[in-house]
Amino acid sequence: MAQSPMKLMVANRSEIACRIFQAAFEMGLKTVAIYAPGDEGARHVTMADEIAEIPSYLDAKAIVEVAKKLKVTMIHPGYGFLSERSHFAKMVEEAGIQFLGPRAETMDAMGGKIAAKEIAEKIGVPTVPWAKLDFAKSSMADIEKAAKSVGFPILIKAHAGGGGKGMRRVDRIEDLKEQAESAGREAVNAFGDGTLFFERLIENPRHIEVQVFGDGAGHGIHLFERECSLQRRHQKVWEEAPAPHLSDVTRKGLYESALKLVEYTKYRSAGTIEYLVDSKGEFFFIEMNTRLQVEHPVTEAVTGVDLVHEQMKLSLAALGKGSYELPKLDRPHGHAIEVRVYAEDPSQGFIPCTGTVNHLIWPSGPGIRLDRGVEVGQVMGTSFDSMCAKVITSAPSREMAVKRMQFALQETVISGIGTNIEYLAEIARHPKVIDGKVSTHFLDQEFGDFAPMPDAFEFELMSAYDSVGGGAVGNAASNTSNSATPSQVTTNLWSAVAGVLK
Amino acid sequence: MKYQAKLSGKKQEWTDASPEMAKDWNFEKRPGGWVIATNEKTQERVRFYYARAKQQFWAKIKGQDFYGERLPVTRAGGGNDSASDFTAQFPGKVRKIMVVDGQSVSENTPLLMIEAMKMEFAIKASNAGTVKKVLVTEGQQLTPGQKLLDFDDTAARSEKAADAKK
Repeated sequence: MAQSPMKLMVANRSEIACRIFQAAFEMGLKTVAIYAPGDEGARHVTMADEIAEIPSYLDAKAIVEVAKKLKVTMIHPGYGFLSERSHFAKMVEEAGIQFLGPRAETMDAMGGKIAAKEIAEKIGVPTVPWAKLDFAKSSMADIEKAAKSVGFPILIKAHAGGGGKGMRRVDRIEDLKEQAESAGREAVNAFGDGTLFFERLIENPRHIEVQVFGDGAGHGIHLFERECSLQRRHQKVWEEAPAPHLSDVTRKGLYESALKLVEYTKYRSAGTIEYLVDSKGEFFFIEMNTRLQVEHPVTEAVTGVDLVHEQMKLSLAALGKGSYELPKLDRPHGHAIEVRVYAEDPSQGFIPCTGTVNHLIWPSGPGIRLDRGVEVGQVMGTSFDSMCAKVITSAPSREMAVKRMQFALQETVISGIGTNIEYLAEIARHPKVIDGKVSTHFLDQEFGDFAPMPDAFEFELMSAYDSVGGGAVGNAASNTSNSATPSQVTTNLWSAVAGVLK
Repeated sequence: MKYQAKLSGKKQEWTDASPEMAKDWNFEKRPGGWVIATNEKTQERVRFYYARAKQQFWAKIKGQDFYGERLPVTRAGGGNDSASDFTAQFPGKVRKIMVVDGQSVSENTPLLMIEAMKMEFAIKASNAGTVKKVLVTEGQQLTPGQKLLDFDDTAARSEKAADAKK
């Protein structure tokens, strides 16, 4: 028993499983991959020492049973799937297996938005201010007092509300009386309930989060912040570290409050504290993600800390293999950006694109990291998440990290399936993104009607190439000469397309 | 001569063009997949990627990434190769058929409801025309490329083409 090998199972798939397998190799761990039916062709399945089929990535019981059978010593849950299900963490630990994440109790405490908010308020971490009052029973003084405690601008909402009824925006205390009375009347008339909520309206908020790591004994560190404001319906698209245009005061406040939460919860392993930051730099805790996040590579790039190694070292120490010491960090070094490449069509409501990957050209070069889950020949279906890869660039300055992202994306080709690469490339070229001045509304406002179209020259060149027989998949002909014949040209759409655009 | 392409979810109709460009450019497919196009007259050099499998293509040129479909060629003066191409793009299921054989419909009339990827999509008439034949039944599973119906919109398209000329 003394020298039985440490064996790590990744209870996940695709790029994050691949990334964790790399870390496992580096740490000298044996590896186990799992796959659900239909996912046999996924890249991560090729990377482990042992593999096992499970009915579903959400089948906690089956996964733990396989882990026990294969004498797994550690399970990394990745992100998504079971990563934040406390019952899974509990089952894993009850089976005598290390869970590379927080304890089940921490997930229960911090996993729910309301419960987490209550903890935050209790220990003095700012949350979005709000107040509740019964309009019928409140004097104007009560209303003013509630409004002042919340702070302007205020959104007044009817407690029983819906459909915008009873909802008012109030920017100044001078307007409060009139707006509150009108909202109160409307609430009583519409819902028979005059209970009003005052909530601080956070305009053009930025989504900024702090990476934390705890040793599970009440000690923790923060690994600085990430800016994740570029989101589409709460799905992050572009993440970076550190956050641009953030004052030292705000930064310090974010770090201090994040550490308070880590220490209070005796947080174990990697986690993220998410905040909204308003235009004045005031910040509000929104939730905690009790897992390794998709965007963790940008933090790794600016800190030099391998977060997955840290998770493994902490678990190894718990198994009696060495001792664990938290990394010591002074400041972030340079700047890093991550984009998420999805097999989806941004011009058609982000509908997933299916098909077989027939060619891949990946970017490489200084400061480019690629975490990927796809291979040539892989079938992209609709049963699993459509993320293909994450492209991460890092450079000494933000300006260069953005340039590097533009370069990396122009070097990336995924053929056989549609992707959001052009969407990402246009984001990387947008002046506001280049300036780093964005809010969570940016993508919906600026990229709502995204529909890329080649210009005339581009069409013409591709068309000319097609007309001489180039581009056919599986056609190994190289050094194609320009020997277009009339019959080829007439069947060639691209010549036609080019003509109109001229 | 008319052609259609579908990019960014939009069908585009194009009229004929000359293949002049193919005369000026030399193409060299490089190991790795990139193509280097060189203009013999101007010595301009452009790197791009272009792959096509049947109707679908994937391309990258001047840092821009595109993919779409080339739709069947429409013969000059109309004909049976309808520009309104009703083929299934995804695996899916026919939820509802809203028209019958021989029915005349106006532009944008919903013809079929298709369920794919847990969402429902209406297949609409891209032009006014006549449903010649519905080729699927309600509840039928669809494979990509499967034709859904025969649709004749020759008249509407000639009219549009005539308008475009003016």
